[in-house]
Amino acid sequence: MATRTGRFARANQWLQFARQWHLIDANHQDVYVLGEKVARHLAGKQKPLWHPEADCGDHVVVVNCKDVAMEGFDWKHRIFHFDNQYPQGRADIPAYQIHEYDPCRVIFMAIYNKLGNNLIRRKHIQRLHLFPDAKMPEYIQKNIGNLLEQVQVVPRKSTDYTAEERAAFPRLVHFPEDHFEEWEAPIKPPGRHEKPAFGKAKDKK
Amino acid sequence: MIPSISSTAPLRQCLTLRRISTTALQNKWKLVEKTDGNTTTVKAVKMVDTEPPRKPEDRCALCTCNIPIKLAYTDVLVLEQFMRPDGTVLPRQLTGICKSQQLRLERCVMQAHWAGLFPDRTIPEFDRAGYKRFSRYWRDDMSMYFLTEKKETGTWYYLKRYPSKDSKTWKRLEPS
Ligand SMILES: [Zn+2]
Repeated sequence: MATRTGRFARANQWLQFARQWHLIDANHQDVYVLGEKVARHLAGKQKPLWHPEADCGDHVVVVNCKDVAMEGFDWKHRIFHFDNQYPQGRADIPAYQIHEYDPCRVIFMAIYNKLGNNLIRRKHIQRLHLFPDAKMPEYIQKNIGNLLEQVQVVPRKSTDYTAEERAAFPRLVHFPEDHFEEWEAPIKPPGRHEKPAFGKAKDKK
Repeated sequence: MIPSISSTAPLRQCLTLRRISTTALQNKWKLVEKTDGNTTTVKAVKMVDTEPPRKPEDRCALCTCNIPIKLAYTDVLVLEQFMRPDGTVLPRQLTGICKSQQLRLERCVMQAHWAGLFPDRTIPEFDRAGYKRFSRYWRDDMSMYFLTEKKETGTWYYLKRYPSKDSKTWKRLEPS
């Protein structure tokens, strides 16, 4: 690793001894990959001076928690098991129902699990600030000093592309010589085949 | 960190090399209806198209490069060329791509619809209720066929520092 010198590097080094405030956008980020990164910064493991007994964790502000992503059908297939050890105290809740109720809860659980099983994780999790959308109070916003890189590329929608980008992109489809433009129009779905009831004539009206 | 899901950059490079400058060609037909009193005439008129027509000996459009093209659901600009305005895929008899690429394309288009990448090319009755409202991504085009139920132990411990829904507390905090 190249040694960095200069005023900027020196200020960054001093910053490591302070409590930094990081901001990360959770839009279209996998819950668990994002949780791992946030937990790493909450525990201060990105700092070279990290030690299990050193209290060097940072604050992390996560915005757009409602837009957090899961792979495939995981919102339905990832099931959280809650059990409070009382009769009828068990519940199996799919992740999307928790996310509907509270858009910050799923990501909180992911980060809390990634912090590991130790005595200081309750201190670390107190430095986490979760916001369902981009809004946050003023007194949080003025503390933020660093923007963390997202863990995944946010896919672009077809409406996000401009007309120039579309025109610059090469065309792949080559239609045959006798192609009619009407063939590209949407067709009516044929629907399901209705089996005629037993004993009824086919051409009866 | 997950490697980037889609990689259109090499594909685009490869295709721009292959590109040839063409003048406006007339190789597409269009039906024009004309009503004159009691008689209706339907006429096939040639249309201006930027790209040359496909010859029968041409190879499929997604297999011509030296590098293997693996479509992903994020390659929106590629997928939308093979689609109808209502979001369905054109048959390969029209587009002339091979069977394996057509199947891959159909899987990618379906994934893109599920991920909500085509808001302008869907039907209004596309199901987005329940868990389908939330954002999702796909690792590769076959990942919807490998379904497993993942059990996790939920934690009761939760710090709710800021209101996550619309509430009076939140409105008080918000600068107006
Ligand atoms: Zn092919």
